[in-house]
Amino acid sequence: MNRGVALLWFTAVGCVLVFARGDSGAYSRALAVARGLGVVSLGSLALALCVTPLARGLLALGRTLPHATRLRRALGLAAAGSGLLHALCAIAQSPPRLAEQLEEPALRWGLGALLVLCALGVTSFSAVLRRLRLSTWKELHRLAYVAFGCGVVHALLMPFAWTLPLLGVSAFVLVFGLLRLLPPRTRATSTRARAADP
Amino acid sequence: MGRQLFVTGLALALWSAAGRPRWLYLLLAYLIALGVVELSQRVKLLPELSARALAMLGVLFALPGLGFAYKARARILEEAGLVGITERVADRVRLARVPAIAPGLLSSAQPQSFFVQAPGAQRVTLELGLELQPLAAASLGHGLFRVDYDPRVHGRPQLLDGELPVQLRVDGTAHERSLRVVAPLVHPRWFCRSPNAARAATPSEETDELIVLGGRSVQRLPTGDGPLDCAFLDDTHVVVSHRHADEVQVLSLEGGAVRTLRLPGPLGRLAFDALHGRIVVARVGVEPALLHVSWPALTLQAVTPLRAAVEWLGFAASERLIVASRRDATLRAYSASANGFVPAGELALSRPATSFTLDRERMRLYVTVTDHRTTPGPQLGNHFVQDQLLVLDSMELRLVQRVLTARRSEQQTKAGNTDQGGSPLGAWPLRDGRLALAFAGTDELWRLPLPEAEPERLHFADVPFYAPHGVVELADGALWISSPAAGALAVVRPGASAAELVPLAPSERELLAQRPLALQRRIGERGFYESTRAGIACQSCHLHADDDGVAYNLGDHRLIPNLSVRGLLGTAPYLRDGSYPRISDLDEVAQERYRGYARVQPGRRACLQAFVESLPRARSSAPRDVAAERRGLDAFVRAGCERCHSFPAFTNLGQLPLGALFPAIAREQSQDSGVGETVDVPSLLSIASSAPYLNDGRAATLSAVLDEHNPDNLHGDTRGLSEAERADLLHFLVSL
Repeated sequence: MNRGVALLWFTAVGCVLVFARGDSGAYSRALAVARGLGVVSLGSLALALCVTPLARGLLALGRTLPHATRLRRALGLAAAGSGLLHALCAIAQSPPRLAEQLEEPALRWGLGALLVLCALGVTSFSAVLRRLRLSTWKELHRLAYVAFGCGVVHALLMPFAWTLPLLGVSAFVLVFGLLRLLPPRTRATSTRARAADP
Repeated sequence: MGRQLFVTGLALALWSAAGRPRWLYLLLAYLIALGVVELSQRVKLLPELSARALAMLGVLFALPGLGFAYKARARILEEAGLVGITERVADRVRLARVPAIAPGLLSSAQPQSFFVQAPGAQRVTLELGLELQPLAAASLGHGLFRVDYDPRVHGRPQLLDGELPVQLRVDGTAHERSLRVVAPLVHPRWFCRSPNAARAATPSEETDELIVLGGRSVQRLPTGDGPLDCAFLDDTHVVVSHRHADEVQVLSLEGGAVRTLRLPGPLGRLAFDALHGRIVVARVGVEPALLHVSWPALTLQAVTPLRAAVEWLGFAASERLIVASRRDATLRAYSASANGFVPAGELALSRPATSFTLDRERMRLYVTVTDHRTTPGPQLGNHFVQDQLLVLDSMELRLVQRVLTARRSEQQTKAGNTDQGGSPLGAWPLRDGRLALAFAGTDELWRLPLPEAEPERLHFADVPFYAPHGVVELADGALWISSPAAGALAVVRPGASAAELVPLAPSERELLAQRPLALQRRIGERGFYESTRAGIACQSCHLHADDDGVAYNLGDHRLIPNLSVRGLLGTAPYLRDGSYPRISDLDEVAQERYRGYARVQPGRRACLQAFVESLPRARSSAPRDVAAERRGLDAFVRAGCERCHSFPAFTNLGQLPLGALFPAIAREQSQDSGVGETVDVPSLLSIASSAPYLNDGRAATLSAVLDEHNPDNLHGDTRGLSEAERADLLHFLVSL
């Protein structure tokens, strides 16, 4: 599964590089690459946030999403990785003015998203999971929603935001997130329900 | 879920205890809360609680945090940079919903062009309502269409104010969209007076009428589209020029036929020389000129080209014509010749004239300005405004006297004597030798003895009459004053100590009941003209919402040319660097930097925003040539202009680092100020009338934008265009 996500991620990053080479608009190439990596990061995070609700939904239908946990982690790591690359590309544009540019609210939101994503990335390995209680780990990793929110605001405040797709993806993630509020149905209850069904 | 609520509640409580309205602190508080709960459970500090108990505790903890968030919501949004994000996103969504239409404002007072983006469409029509015929759009290529709308030809929507549902029919499929409709009220401005001084007249551009007054009667006569200026030809005939129709009309005040003469427009103000039976009409736009029309034959005799468009004009003694231009803030004198007029002298002012009047002998010229410096060089005071009256010798164009009407300090944060004499916009020489001055900024009328002495002041405090513009004295000694914002005239009869109101539009009470949005705009218009306690008003620089052609120091001692505030609806954020998310936020400049207003006005910000958003852009006066426009649009797309100046608003509402377009300029500015500048992508609609161009006004013409001011070819690939394509592109830009 991780290999599949890695392949997908490298493909997406490759597409970004090819896109930026062909058409960078008014931006410099490096900024266009940064922008594309940001899209990959936010997209990966959106997909990661949809994994659990999707798995639960499938479970309710009596099916399972194989390797859901690993898939979620891989997508989350892809989001953090491309977010980090996105930030490095942006910083490479104007390193001397970094501190001053952080006065920009859009960049502060982006930095907030990146910090949270990196923190979640670092704590997403089994070794950390074993040290933290599962409940604490879950509460910590619900900050992924905060990271996504920060990322969306960051993108909305930036020039050339693809506003409609961004709002569409946000609504999608929100709906999936709300589905998580429903009580989870375990495989056992789902099986019982099937058995009871004439 | 119980533990999650407990952690969240605890985080909110910690956040409120810290009292820092930043999201980052809330995040930090969440991590601390998580650590505290984890630790307390590990060392068994807290008793084991059920999920329900934890949830209830969490809700209890959350209450102070939620209270803090509610109280500090404005600061939280500001700290987070989220002020105005809903407007910004809404504007972007509006333009991103294809088929999209721009601009989003429909004024029933003037002709307008709308642009529709409908990629791949063959035929587009705009339906403004059941009562109006559908408007067919002209295809310009690349999925862009243009719809020309003229309310006098196509009719006005029944809705007077508010959001009008419209339908864009694209290849037979209807798409629901909306336009904000504005039906302005009557706006009387400056007067002209009959030779026998028994009557005066003032045009109302917004309602296409001429208001004629005399004695105790007020008559309202219909005119052509957008009457702009008038002059009495004799005691019963008035000639009127029009902004939106290339014609002058001669109206008979005794019910005779209307005579019309079509002229090469667009037209501006006019003046009449009774001695030689000569009407002079200013042609404005890209080819400014003086048009000589004979009277009573009413034929065009000659055309005198000018360097700059005329803002004011009048005949002085000895057949000399004095004109004032806004763009270069210059007074010019012309002498009559066989083929028109020849230059006979000029005087450069620091700022353009805001009003212009000759005395009865036509020897003295009274000009009001927002500043005048006798020393050369630009004024570097931040947003500096010093309202004053200049008295000039009209024969020699020599400054005779300066009268500072509002005495302000050099720094706007310091106190000055600025509660009077703000924004003089109208002057009239009185029979007793004094000069009547109307002050839009401070709602007052002065009768000023000259040479300067203490004026007699009349405040319009007791009548709902504000931001007066024009003033005129009639033979019976009555002084008439106009207020476009109030939609009214006021008259001060001889011997009276107070003004008597002559309403032309519904009262505030009636508007509140019937058209609250119109009332909001009216209050906003008043606020636009009202002087702050530092002596500066919106009007001081944005003359009647247009730019005054002056470069101001807006900070950092860099001179930046100001901008028109028309056509701003749906283009958030604002200013050249996009630093203001909402129009209403500009009020904070007045409140914090200019010591606020003497008068308390509830809802001032919202009203100001409503007024500014109701101002439409001027439609291009370039002749329509769809074939040339299509070629120009091809060049526009080939140069990549549409990546930022996207259809249909010709802006993507984004901002760019200056260095991405002009690296050398960005490096230079960065060395000066240490700050990397961001520039807003402006709309190109009505761009022909918004020179100078680029972020600091360094390009005087559109041609210069494409050529010498694009050295790195990053501001569009203009180097890749042939000469013919460049000409087509320029034609297209002028047609927007």
